[in-house]
Amino acid sequence: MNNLEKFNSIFAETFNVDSSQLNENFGIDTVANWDSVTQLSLVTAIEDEFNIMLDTDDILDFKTYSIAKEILKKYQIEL
Amino acid sequence: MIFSSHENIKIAGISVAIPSQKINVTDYYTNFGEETVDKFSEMAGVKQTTRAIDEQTASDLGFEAAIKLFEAKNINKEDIGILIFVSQKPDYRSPSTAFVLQKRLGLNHDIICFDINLACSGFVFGLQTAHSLLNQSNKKFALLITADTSYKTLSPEDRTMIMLFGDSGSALLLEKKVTENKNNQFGLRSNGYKFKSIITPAGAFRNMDLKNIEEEWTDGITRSDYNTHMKGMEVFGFSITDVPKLIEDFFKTSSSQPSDYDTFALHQANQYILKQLSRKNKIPYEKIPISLDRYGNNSSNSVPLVLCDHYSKNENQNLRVFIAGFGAGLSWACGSIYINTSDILPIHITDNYYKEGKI
Repeated sequence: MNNLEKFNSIFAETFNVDSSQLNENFGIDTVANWDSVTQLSLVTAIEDEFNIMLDTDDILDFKTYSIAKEILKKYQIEL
Repeated sequence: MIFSSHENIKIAGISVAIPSQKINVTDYYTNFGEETVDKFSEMAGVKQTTRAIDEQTASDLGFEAAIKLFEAKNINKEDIGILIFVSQKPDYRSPSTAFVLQKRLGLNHDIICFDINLACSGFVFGLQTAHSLLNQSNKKFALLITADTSYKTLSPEDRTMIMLFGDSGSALLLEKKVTENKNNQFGLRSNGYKFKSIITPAGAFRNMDLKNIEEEWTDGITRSDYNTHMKGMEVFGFSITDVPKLIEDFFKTSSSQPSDYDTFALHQANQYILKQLSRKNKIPYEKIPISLDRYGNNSSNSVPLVLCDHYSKNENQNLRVFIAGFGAGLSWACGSIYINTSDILPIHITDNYYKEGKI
């Protein structure tokens, strides 16, 4: 599994959706079960998978699929 | 930061009572689905909580903890001059539940009794208040009782909170005693500008017209205005920015550092937050004892619960403990306290309640 596949798989598992549903619109405003618990679960899984620790602002900003991708770039994770 | 340092006041004993009923997070598989529950459990670190029976109030748990404390300490109750009850789940809207506890505990009239309405920061705020009052009084002891039954205002549909909170009560005895430069110290902050971050809107006098009707809120969760609502990400943000800043400021003001403390009894908010505090304040994670896996987040009782859970079996060990609590208000506080482990009692399990209290 490459990084993008790992990344997508975490999103799909966290929000219980198929990877094909992940796109630029996928985020806190469009996903019904995106709440503080799922967001923190998502961040925890991403941190564990890529062996990184996100800064506070990045954890709080982690609110859409596309923003999450941008954030990971800052940690030298190529997707 | 409000900073206070208190000489010649000692923590003479601490006790915790929990109800016997255990709730496993797996009990929520049917409500929220296995995957959601397992992910919550992995992130929050909660596997189980305890829950009071319907008849049992927060003060019943605090009362039982105080009885155990009296049995262990065998003090003259007439020497207690202050009784503070910290809770968000009082017995009545008035009077303060502290008066009910005064009667039940058989304390005399030469005493100050009142409640403090605080949640997760309540133990530290209550402890600071008790130190301050005792210092200015002519009495020997102060009794601080903290207790909550958070579950009682939670929507059963609220997956962000219902699996997280456990019920318990604690009692702590402060004594005037020469402490040889071992001052208990506290740092406290409050932010009422965020009073809506954790709120139970109805049931008091601002929203008397609100009906107790459950409906779907904008976060997709069904609850009524009588349920407690928490803005999860806002409170999380507060927990990992304002709280570490306070801890950092406290270390500076008290001229202490993490290596000066034997243990870090932190409010058991959730595991992820504890890890963040460990990282941000350079506190070794292994020095943060955990009780939330078996008891959940216990509001104001998290700090005493984690102490009784981990140290009641140790004999005669002097500990310097870093404590911290943060939550509704918003309010956040931390401190440095000294306690001997022989004064930390084992957790008491009880389903007793005050039958005469029912009107």
